[in-house]
Amino acid sequence: MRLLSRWAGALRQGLAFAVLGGLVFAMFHVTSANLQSRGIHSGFAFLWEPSRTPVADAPIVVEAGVDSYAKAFAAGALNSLKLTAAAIVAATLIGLVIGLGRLSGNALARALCAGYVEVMRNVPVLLHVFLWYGVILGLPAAAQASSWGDLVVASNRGLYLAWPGVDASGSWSLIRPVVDGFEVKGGVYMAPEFFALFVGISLYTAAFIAEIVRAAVGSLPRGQWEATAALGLPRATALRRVVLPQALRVALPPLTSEYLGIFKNSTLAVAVGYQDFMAISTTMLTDTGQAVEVMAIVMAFYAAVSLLVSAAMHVVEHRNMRWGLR
Amino acid sequence: MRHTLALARLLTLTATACCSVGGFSQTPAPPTSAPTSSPTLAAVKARGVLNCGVIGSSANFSLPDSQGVMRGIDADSCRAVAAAIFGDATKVKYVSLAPAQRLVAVQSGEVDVAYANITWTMTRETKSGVQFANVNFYDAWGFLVPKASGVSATNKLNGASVCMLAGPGESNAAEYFGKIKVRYKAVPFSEGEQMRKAFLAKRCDVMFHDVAAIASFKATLGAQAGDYVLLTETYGREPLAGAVRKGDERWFDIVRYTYNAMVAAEELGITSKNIKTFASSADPVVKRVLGIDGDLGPSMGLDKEWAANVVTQVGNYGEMWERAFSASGMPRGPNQLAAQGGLHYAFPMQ
Repeated sequence: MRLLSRWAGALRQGLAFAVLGGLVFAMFHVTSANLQSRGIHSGFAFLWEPSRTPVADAPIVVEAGVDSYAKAFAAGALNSLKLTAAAIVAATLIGLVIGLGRLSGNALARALCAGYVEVMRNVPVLLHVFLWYGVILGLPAAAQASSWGDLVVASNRGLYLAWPGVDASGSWSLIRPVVDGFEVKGGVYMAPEFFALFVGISLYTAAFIAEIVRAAVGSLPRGQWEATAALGLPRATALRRVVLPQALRVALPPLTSEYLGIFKNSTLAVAVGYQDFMAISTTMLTDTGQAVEVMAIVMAFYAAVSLLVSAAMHVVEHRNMRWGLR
Repeated sequence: MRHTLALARLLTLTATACCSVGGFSQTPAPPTSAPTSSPTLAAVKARGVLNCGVIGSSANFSLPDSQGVMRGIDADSCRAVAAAIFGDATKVKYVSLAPAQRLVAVQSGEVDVAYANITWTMTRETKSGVQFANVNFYDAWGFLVPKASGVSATNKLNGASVCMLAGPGESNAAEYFGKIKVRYKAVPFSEGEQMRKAFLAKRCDVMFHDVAAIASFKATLGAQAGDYVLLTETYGREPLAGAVRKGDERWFDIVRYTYNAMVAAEELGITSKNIKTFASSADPVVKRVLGIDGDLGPSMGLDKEWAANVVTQVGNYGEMWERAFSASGMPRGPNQLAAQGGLHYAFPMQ
């Protein structure tokens, strides 16, 4: 009897899957037939054709007429991931400091951190990005750029920072940025567009992370603090060894949402002309006219990365749980 | 914002593509020889208004004036089609399109025709399901630099940051600077307004853009216009064309010959002001164009006076050009009639 009901359950699920799969297949089939009847070439074969549009400022450079569209998408993906990773690290660090600051014994620090949270989270993130873009465009042009001790050159073409590397004579040394005509040479470089997005998104998300930290630490029983005090542990040690590890368990689920938010907010790149995945996809769409395929790729990319971030955070959560219970 | 809009439009396209005409039918209807009716024309007539895709933020092409009326050569090209169909140039609904949406909007039937700074290229016709009816403006790429930079030619631009629009701007810049072997840093923007702001904020040393768009940009600067110089070098060909959906030949004819009639009118010296004096003309060409003789209009499913209505209400090609560009101080150049050394040439109206 039991076996029978289990079989019936499996059958029901199988049927549901078959119907769903059939629907998706039919939709795909009809779409491509209709596109064909309108003289629109469909399919993903265009990915292997050489791109008409070059991609500059990316970890992998795409040369027009040489590299494929697939490589251009990859360049955009790397740019998106670079921005997201940098913003996640910065937002987490700032958020942790501000969140702990709100729990500080010092009234001034508490007030300042509370002020930060209220100001930052109540302004739309797009305005943050525009503000920082405006700030960096307000800097002087490369030719009149201000530099501090030859180590940093700040201009409206971006920030240049001295960085160790191999110099002209072939030996390792600190390469200092030098203004040369229109451009600045040497050192590491951060484009104004990247700067605006990185700073804007990080400061904005940090406010939310600060609240998560405050809530997580606040959720611990008062006895935990009192016990550390009774043991004579310094406050910093108590925080590091007793309070934060336990708070982390509470903080992880909402933190995952913030990280996903950062990833999705990275698409604001189009507002300032940073070449993220979305911006490059839009360009490739104009280039090829393959609207349905390009949008499918975009949706697949954002869904896949979001699911990966969720899964990774889930693993961390799970580990923490076991460690906590032990 | 534009972005979400673009996305919504693309989703509509997907939806229409998968669920519209034909439903589950897999084989497209066999091609019929010389269709006498146009489904698009029937739909436009039933709707009572022409849906015309324009950029909507491009001075001299399509930009609302202080009264909110769309002005420019693209806007007037839309008006001409409406005048040919309805005998009323005001029956146009302008649909503003971002560059990435233009072809999609035509493919999906969201607009009946698009005059949206679309460059006529081969693959756009062979692969994208759109067809170009006519070129309403011949453009090229140009370079705008601040006068203070002292740059007089593009070969002095080594290492310069170049503001441009993403897509065609990027590919043409790569071709041009590759050819003259000048290193440059591309700063691509998805929208013209962002690019112009960044250029004025000195984010770049050069703006690489359509010559006509640069001229209109300079015209909006007022007293500051003298601070910027358009270099004499130009690059490439940018025939900006009116696009319609493939598969409706009769509709294609209407859009193509509306433009053709405007050029023919200029060649014949017919303007919106003097057209009445041609009513008694003995010239057989004039009589055919104005619908006094022959059946040019009815052959496309339109009134006999279709071309006369276009010229009366919108003017001939030259009048349309003057209205859009004379204030910018740009020479007419390739947009003159062929007889004056330009590229506009009317096919015989017979």
